[in-house]
Amino acid sequence: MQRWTLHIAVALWLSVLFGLKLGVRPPMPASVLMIYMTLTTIGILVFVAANEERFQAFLAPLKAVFAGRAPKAAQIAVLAGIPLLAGWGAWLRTAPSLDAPFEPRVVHPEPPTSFSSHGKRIDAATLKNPLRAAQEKNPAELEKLTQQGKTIYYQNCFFCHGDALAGDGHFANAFSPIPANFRDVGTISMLQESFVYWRVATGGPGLPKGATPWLSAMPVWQNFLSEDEIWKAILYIYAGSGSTPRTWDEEGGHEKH
Amino acid sequence: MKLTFLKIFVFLIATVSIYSYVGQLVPQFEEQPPAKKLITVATPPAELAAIGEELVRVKGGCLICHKVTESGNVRGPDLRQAAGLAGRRREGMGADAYLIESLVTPDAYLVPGYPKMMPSAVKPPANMNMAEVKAIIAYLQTLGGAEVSVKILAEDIQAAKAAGPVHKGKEAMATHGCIGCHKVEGEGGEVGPEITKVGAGRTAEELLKKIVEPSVWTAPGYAAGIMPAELGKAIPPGELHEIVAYLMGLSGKSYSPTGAESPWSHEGVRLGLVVLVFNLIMLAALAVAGRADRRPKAEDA
Amino acid sequence: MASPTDAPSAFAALKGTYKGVLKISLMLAATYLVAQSLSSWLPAADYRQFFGLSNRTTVWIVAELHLMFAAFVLGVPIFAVITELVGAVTKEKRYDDLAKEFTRLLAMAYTLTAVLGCVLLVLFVVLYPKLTGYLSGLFKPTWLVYLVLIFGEVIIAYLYWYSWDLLQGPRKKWHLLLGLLVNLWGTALLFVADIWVTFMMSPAGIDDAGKLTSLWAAINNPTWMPINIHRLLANVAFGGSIAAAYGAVRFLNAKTDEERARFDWMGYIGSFIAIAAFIPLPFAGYWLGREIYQFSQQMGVSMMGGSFAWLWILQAMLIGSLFLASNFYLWLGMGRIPGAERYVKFQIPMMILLTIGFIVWATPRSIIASGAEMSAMGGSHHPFLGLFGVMAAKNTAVNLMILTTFFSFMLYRRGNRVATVSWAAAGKIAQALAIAAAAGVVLGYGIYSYYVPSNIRIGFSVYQVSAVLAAMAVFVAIDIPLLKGAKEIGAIRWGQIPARAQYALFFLAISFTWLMGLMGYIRSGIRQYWHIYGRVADESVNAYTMTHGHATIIVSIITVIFFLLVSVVFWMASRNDPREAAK
Repeated sequence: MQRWTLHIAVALWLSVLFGLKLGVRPPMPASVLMIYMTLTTIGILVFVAANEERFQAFLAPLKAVFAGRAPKAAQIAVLAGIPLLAGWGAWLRTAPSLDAPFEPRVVHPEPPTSFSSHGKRIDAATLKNPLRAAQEKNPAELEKLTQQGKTIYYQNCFFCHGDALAGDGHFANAFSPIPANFRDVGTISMLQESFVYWRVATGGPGLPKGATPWLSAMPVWQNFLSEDEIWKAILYIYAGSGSTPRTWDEEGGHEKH
Repeated sequence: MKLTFLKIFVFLIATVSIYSYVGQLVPQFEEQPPAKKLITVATPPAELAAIGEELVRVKGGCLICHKVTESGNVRGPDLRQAAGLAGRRREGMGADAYLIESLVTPDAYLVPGYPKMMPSAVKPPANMNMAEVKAIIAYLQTLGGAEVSVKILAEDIQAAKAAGPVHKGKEAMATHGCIGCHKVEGEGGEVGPEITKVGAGRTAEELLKKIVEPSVWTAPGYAAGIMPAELGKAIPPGELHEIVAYLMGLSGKSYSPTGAESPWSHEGVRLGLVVLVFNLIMLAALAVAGRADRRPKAEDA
Repeated sequence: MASPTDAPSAFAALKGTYKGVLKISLMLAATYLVAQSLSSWLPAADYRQFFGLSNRTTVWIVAELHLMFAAFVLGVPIFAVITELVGAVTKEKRYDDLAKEFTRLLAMAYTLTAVLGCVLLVLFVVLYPKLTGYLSGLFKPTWLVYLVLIFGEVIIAYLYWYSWDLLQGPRKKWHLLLGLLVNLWGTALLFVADIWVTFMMSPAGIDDAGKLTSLWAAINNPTWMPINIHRLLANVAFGGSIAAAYGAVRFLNAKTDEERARFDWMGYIGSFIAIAAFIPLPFAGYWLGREIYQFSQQMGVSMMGGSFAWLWILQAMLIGSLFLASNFYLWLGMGRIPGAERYVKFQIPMMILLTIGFIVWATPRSIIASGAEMSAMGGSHHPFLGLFGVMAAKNTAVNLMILTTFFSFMLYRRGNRVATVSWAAAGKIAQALAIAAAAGVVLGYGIYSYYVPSNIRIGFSVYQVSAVLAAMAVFVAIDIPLLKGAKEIGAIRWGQIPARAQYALFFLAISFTWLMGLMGYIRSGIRQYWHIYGRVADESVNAYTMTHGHATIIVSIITVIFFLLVSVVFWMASRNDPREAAK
């Protein structure tokens, strides 16, 4: 068994590569595959080198090839195969492709300290949903506002963000990036309502440079909806997607030193 | 030994190179600080109005006499009505033209019931360029609930003035109203003496004192007690030093606007003395210990 | 600096200590004179450049180097004293020798730390006169405290070193007390220095005009304590890794088997300290992150989700490599333990776990994808990989990696021992159950957290961490009586370890240093264009946030300079080794 260490390592590496390439649907992007394979390589090498006997067994065939002791076929395969592989890799990297260039982007762009909405300057740090704050003690009233928010949602947001608030409305596939999926735990449930308000009110054009080249097609909703309407819609997207806005006060309150 | 160090060094370089290389693989962009609000030909009306609001409140100092909310000063007309009434003020003059005139040459037409007291917006202390004047008008128009109709032209925008510590002092003098009464470098009011060369015969400390406490001396030929004391007291210390640095610089003297605030300059020497005394005490202790150390040895011998 | 080779005497100890005080006094005097003359001689300005070099980069490099040396001299005494205590309790001479070996590294490093600190101070005064003037005006009392602490630290630390041979035997307890004082003083020093740093991140206690309203509020600002704790732990981890690297250098240079055995052991102890202090670090970091979010959501978002998000991928890569390297070192170390071959079979599943954990941890939240790949994924989120991108998955992964590494270490510990107590089998089963239960809790909460909103999910990481810590505690609690009076298969063959294990130790030290540089950059960088966040803006040309590529290159340069300086310290230390001198 031990004398096959090198062969097992190579076979394992190849099976991971093809497993990831063929086994994952939809296919994973090349950048992620690259990360995964690099780590797999490191893992295998570290494992092999972590035991002296294993390491020597791993090196033995290689030493045999480079010392000319191995069978001729193996020598040819290695000595010709490695340059060929390197050449192939180089060709793959330089060959022209029809793909659009990479578009790295950040998921949660940082909000500005203050932004302008409905002709006012709004301080992002202290902004709270006034409707939620006012109706905290009155769930029935809050429910009514949420229902009004639902109407607003269906009149304005539904076309892109979808019936199930899953970012899969009728127009969703026309955009890159696709509209936010509110049911994804990584979107609105990770954010405070002030952040959501900022995104709705200032839309795609309001995104900072750090989020570029972001082609968000989100309209600047402050031009179409009143402040109240935006807040109501926000009430609905939280209620409708079954999430709650992130707040810091309640968690930190008792631990504040 | 040398070889080992060399190998380790190569290993070090290789490791940090890999880390730096991965650092190059992630998206690269520089994030600039938010631009100082510069008015351009393409500035949208809403933003123009926002800049105008800032100018009215800070640089223009308009609210010293005018009001934009229910509570406010009434030395001048209520600005909430300015844009609305502009078209009807003067025969044959459009609203925009009237507003520009009333800012650039305020004395050309006075609203009935108000005295002639407003300084021109394009001269110190406000010292704005035409683009800024138009931004204020845009703000006045949104304030009155009207559409913004002013257009910024290319010639309205002058090149930004060089910014630097020395110019900061100049700016501060404009913001805090010094220029209203004093003439500096050919600009300013006539109420007080010209102070372009005031640093020639005075030290920086004297100037500092004079600003905060105007009664300490008065220039010959001018009445004492005119210069308001509360104005100087309202200037934040940092800007106070900037103003003095600027004035001293005009007379060819240097004054560090920051050095004076550093505790090191005041207390460094005192601290040095403490450290010195401490060293001496340690030395004395050492001498005592040295004697105690030698004694047993002498006994052994 | 000379080692106490002469007959130990109180006079020699005092003389050595006074030399340290004199050095510091002269350095401070020089700093004061240079800073004062430069700032009165140079024309007034808000910012100055350093001979054409960006003032920001200059201050960055010097500050980070100063910080690294300070971390080293604050971290090393912590475990030097613990080692000494172990030596005093077990009456084993080799522990006392090791503690002295650690302390030997300190003396020279103190001088370098102080020189760098003085240079940094001059740079602050000269390159950032206005900001420095404001801050030092605000925090004048703390400066005085700091000065007193520096003198105290120098006196006690030098006394600790010089009185080593003097205070032996029945007088050992006084020496241990000195060691304790060194640490108290050092910690106080760290806490004071942190005031200024954290105030710039999360200012408190000043009014809108920037005037001080409450000095205590400014000191006890939201991030002060978290950073104190975070840095204290990191200092120990960092100091341990550097001490291990020193052991590795001496091992590679060793000419006799006796020397090889000694430094192999030193490297092992150093790396053990580094890893032990490293394990609680993420939790301290988590606390800091929370305080940052609470202070300013914008700052928090720009740290974790904004442009800096990419640097956390780098951090994940570094930490993953640290885990791999430490397991690698332990496994290689098992090669020198007779009987450890019994546990080699566990290496395959452990490696698989570590690699998968690493893979999950390195999965980016924001995936880089070309247009074609995006449309194939149906958007910018991969439906499957997206699950790995979020914090829930990463918490789970890192907890499992910690657990694996811990298990690896426990196997190493029992390598050559066979439990002889009657309940050995039951004990081992209980230990296995503890580990399995912790893994179950970690995985269970990890999966469950996909189904709950974020404010509940955040609490889960606490349960995961508690489960891991509890399992560790249970395991160790069983392990100690279990191995009591255990039969030894054979003695550990110290010194018989392949050279590549020593390179793993270098890798640990280099990666720790680089990681520290990177985290320092993130901490400072998230202030973006502010000197004092939200209060005093950076108005210099360097107010922009640089590209990550540029920043990582600077971090690499800092790391290389640091190691060049450290090798000077190591070289001096080994030159002054009495054993070496005797030859």
